[in-house]
Amino acid sequence: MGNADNPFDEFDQPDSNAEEESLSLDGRGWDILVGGEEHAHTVGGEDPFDSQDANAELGETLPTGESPFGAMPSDAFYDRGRGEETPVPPEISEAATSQPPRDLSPQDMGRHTPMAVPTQPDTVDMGIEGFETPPVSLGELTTPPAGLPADLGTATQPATPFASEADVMPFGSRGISPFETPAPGTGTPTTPAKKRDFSRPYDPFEEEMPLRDFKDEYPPKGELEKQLITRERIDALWDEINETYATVIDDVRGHFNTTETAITDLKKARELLLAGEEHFDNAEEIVKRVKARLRLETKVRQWSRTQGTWLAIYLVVWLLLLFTIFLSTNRINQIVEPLVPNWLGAALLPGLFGSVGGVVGALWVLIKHIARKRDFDPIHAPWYIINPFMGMALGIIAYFLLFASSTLLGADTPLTLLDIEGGRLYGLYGLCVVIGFNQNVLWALVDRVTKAIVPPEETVAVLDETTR
Amino acid sequence: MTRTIVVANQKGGVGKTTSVANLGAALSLLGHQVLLIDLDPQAALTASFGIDPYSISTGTPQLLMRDRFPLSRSLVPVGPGRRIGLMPASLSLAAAEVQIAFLPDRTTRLQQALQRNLVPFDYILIDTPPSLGLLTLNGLVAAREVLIPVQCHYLAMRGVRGLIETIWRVKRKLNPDLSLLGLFATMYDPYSRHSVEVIAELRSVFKTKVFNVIIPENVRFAEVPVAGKTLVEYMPEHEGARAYWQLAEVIASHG
Ligand SMILES: Nc1ncnc2c1ncn2[C@@H]1O[C@H](COP(=O)(O)OP(=O)(O)OP(=O)(O)O)[C@@H](O)[C@H]1O
Ligand SMILES: [Mg+2]
Repeated sequence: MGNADNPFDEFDQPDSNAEEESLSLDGRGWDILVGGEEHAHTVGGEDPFDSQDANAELGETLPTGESPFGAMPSDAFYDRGRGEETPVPPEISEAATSQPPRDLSPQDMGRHTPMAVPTQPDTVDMGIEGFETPPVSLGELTTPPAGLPADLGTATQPATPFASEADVMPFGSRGISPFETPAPGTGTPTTPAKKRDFSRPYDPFEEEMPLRDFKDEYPPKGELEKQLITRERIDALWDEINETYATVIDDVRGHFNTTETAITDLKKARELLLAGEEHFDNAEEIVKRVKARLRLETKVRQWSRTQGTWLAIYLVVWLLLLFTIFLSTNRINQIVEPLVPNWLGAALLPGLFGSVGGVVGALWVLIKHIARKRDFDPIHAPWYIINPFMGMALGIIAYFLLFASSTLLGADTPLTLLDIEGGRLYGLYGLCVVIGFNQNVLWALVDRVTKAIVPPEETVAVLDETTR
Repeated sequence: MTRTIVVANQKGGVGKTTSVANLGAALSLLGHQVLLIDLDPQAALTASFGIDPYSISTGTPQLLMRDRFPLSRSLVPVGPGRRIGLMPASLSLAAAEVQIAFLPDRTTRLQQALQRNLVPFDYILIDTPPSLGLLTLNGLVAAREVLIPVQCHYLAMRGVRGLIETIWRVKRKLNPDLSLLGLFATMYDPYSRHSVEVIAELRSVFKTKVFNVIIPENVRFAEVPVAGKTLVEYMPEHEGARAYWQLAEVIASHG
């Protein structure tokens, strides 16, 4: 195929004829262009798209006359691989998108090519793995069965990414949980130090003073004992036990455990009384304790009914309010757009999502203390009231934290609400909800970010070494 | 009657933007009212008319995202005699694509925008990004005619199949009015047997749907955008410019 017109032919020529042939497109057009001649209908005759055959073959009659958009199928074929999408659009301030991007670096340009898939920089990894529920529930570890080492739970628990960072946790709970009734006589239970558990809301009331425990018994002095522990006193206590039995039975409720323990305790008291007057004080203690527990039960019940209900209503109202705001973010955006700067407006949604987490967390804790643990105390009401706001604040803080960190760390794709890729956006909102729900996540995040920005001393030392 | 033509090919760098700009300029010089819409987040069309996409405050992103955005608010007069209307792309178009993906009417955003802005244009030419994503789809749904530039290369040819299939799906499900205006060869090198063969194969398959006009390969096409002008305007006598002139004439006589 020597072509005299082509001055570069000499470079092409030395090849054998066979090679020439294999480079030829001759006759391969159908395969290449439409996948074979059997697809001829797709290119039709004069006008490929007027071909009736093609429509028949595809088993479709084209809608005519009516607007094609009225009957747009819900499965319009472009679904970005997400399948059916939930109609919860994360509204992003429109004004924000009309601003020119912050820098003109090549990375910034790259971000706008549709082919460039932004990758999450390692350094702002949000530690999502921390949300995995540890395989062993902490609740089960608080009172190790007798005979087993106290640290059994912690010792066997698989290491979490945060396992070595217990000291960073300002809210790490130590001591005993006030909500687990210690078995009588076991003294201060040595509860294993709590691990961070992100699967539950942060409950500030979990942490309380351990019960005091006087180890030593002081044996009564014979004389005094005779003088003070009189027949009347013993009779009175005896009667008190009788009365308490009556109350316990009168007052019996669905939570039968309490009744059961009370009866067992009273029996113990009676035994002590019968065992001799030197056990009078112990018997008395048990009776008083039972009575105090019963009293508390009644009070908690009453509080739960009154303040507890109001708090629950308050939180539900919050939830409804947030829901309405979510539904009208578009409108809000329009109003707020000219009034606040973009970076601030963009924090609205993280705040709202954080607030959702806060409300859900507060409801969770409320229900736990009212229904499950039955130790609701209205002294904590302010916490329940504030938690939705707290969640909002934390959501916003988390947003700015990530924003700042990704910018500071010079990530290829700074995390802004505007040019964020869809998945990351959801990740961020999800994170805000989780942070509102369990504040510990934010502390873990703060920890990670600070470590990333201000490397730990060892790292600095190594860097110094290498750069010297 | 306005003719809305989308220039599409998911293969990158085949000359979509160059074709939209030069056809736009040629049609405008032929006395038509022309509107160009830049649907590419790279904003090459905007840039090739000498407009800095970074300085654009409103453009196609807003047109797509806002429900009542007036087209006239961001139209930029460009081209010969500033008689072409350009709807510029700003760099937030990529973000806009992500945002409209959540809307139920995501495929018809551009179509709605054009329908509610009844501006008396004779030609609306839409430049699309090199992908079959949501932006291209919006272009295909908004237009009535598809124009496909095919670079005279084997790999460029291979992209045609996917494009044709997409156009079919759009026609079946979203825009029954869509029709194929035609294919034309770009970056044609008369000295390369490969180029010649590509055109022969195109013709054997698409027959009359392949324009006789062939756009030659010429480095001037890459140069003139520096001046913020199209070749048609800058060097009307250049063979490349003449090819686009002819193409514009054929297209104009076609409808
Ligand atoms: N006929 C031609 N001859 C030589 N170079 C050309 C020709 N047409 C376009 N070019 C150049 O090729 C490059 C790609 O062209 P263009 O931007 O028009 O392609 P495109 O299909 O729009 O690309 P993209 O898919 O990235 O949007 C540009 O630098 C352009 O100047
Ligand atoms: Mg282009």
